[in-house]
Amino acid sequence: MPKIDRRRFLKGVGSASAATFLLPIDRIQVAFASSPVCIIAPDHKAETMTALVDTVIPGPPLDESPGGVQAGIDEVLPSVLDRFIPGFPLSDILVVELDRHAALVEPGQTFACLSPEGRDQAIELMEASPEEQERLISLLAVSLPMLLYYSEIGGAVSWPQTGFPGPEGAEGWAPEDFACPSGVLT
Amino acid sequence: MTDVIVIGCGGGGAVLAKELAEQGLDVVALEAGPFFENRRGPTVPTSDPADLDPSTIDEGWTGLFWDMDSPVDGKFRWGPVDRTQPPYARTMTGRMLGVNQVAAVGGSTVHYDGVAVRATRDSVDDQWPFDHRELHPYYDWVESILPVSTWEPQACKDTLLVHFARKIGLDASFSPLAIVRGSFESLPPNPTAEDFMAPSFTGCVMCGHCNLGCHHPRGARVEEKAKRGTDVSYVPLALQTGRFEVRPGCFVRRIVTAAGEARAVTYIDPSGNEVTEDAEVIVLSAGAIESPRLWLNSGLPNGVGDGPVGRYLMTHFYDFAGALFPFQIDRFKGPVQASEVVVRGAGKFGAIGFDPAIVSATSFAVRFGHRIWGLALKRYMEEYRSSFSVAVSTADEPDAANRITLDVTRPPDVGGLIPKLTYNPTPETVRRRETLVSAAFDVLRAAGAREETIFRSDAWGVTSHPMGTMRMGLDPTTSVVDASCEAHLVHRLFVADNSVFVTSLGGMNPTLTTQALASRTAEKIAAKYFGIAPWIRS
Repeated sequence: MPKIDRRRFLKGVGSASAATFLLPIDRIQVAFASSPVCIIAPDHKAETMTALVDTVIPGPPLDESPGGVQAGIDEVLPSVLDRFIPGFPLSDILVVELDRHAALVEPGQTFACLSPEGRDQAIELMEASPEEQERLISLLAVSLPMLLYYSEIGGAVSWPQTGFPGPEGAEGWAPEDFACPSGVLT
Repeated sequence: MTDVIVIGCGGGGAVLAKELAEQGLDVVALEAGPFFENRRGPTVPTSDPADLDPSTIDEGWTGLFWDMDSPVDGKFRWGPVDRTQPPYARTMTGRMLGVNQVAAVGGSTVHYDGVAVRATRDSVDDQWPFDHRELHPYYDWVESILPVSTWEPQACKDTLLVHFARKIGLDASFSPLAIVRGSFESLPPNPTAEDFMAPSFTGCVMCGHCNLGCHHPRGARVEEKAKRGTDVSYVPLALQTGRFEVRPGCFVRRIVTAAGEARAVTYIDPSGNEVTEDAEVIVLSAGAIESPRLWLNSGLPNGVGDGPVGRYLMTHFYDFAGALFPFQIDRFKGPVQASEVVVRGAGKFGAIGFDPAIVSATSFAVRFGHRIWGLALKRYMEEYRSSFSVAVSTADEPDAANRITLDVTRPPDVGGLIPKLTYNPTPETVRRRETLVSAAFDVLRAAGAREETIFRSDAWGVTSHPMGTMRMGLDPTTSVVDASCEAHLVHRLFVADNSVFVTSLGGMNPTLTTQALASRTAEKIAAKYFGIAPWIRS
């Protein structure tokens, strides 16, 4: 398993809290603007974020290679979410919605307490919801861990898995490096 | 009094400014974003070409996704120069998730992929107030200045698409690029990073990070960077005239009119002071969202009732389709987009690069109801080097209901009331996108894609190409500007960005057409208000 430099990783996030145009933050803010804010206990938020990240990018024991939790994505996810819009508790909203859909899978259960299969079902229920705002939250729940894990934020773990050399490994490619393998253009 | 004030120094504004400054007019460009290449600082005004400093981007543009292209606090975003401040808000409604734009000298050309393709003929003829031939000398002119060329060798992803699309009879080609071909012949065997640096190497190093800013080749002067964003092409040329000043970090809040003519602009400077400046002519080049927003926030006339300003928003209604292959493609090498398949009447699709983060999200996160995550995602991404996908760019049908308005329900920002985007694809636009995706699937299969891995994103509205909200036309009740891109209802006010498009160019990337039109508009301004004869010839 690659060694994870967690200090370097967290420092990187501190200077690069971000989203992409694939994250419908503006829409979510408007959709939830009038919703009562429920402040989530820190421990519960942490266990929910860990469960979410482990669902989207699993690591041991479900998978033998390290995943999002091993890359520390669950630790940075709340702060990234809450920096999108100052004063707007996006991480709390995400926890509430994950728990609400978890209870539809198993009454009385939170998202973190569900089995891996149950968590999948909870996210599937969110994305199939007739309520647009819930579908948008499901997009955020799935895409943000991906965008963190497979970017420079989780790159120390994920890039060796993908074979991506990163920008430091791509100062230039010669024609023999970027041509198609011989025999494929038949 | 300044001769011409240009609002927005991006893909269109910088072009118009250079053309007019070269004719001896005094031009000031007001830009909301930073000037990255300015050795005196990103918000310091300058008119001196000696202020251009390549080290600012050689060292500052990291090629890292979140650092560079995050619309929240990346270097390339639509937001204040101070990255600790939140980005400017926009309200999205309909089937619209987000718009990927940059506030900077150079505008979104600092992160565009350099695709410099012309509009299709049938997307202009009989639909615009002039025919496609009218644009030819201006296309030629811009293509010679940037420059634009179609070159080989290209990377595997593009070679693969062109080869197999042609094999099944589709109209496929390498894309014309505003990216200078690399001097590969100068490389020694087994080149090192130093071998790709200036002055021994010129042009594109095939790094694959066009969308995260092109600072290659390292060590080259600003004017010699490979990808020809206006920050490294037209802006340096404008500065060399001695007639051009760019003021970065300046947000224009109002256009001042009197007696039916534009007279001045009011803007907030980097220190927070409100400044009003007069000009003989004012040019809106703020893009298809901010140009109508500024018009509406300025209280300028908008026809009778709910008029044409802001209407006919087009997006190219993107989609993504792709698969895994039984061999390595290494999509991260070469220009992000350098090939295209054109399907007449429907649009185009082209092979797309991207790093693993964007590949994972564009491929799997945006597929409502068909997402992949968990073990399936990891297994797929482990084959990233064998993955391939195309970006689908639809010939988006203009619809008056798709539009920019002002959101009166949310707090205003430095520019006034924030813009509200409403976008839903028409049934015809949806049909065209289905046609393109179907053709893309045909190419994937012909090229030997693993059948069980073929996918499409079926994406919602995400775009880097907002167009069409300040429509050009002959009828003031249905268009905002005339055939010279001067406002019907406010004289001495012109528009030089992609908001004037009548159609979405047949799905073609908009920047080159914006720049051709801006060159043409410069001639119209010079002739009508300054008595200068046209200078652009094929």
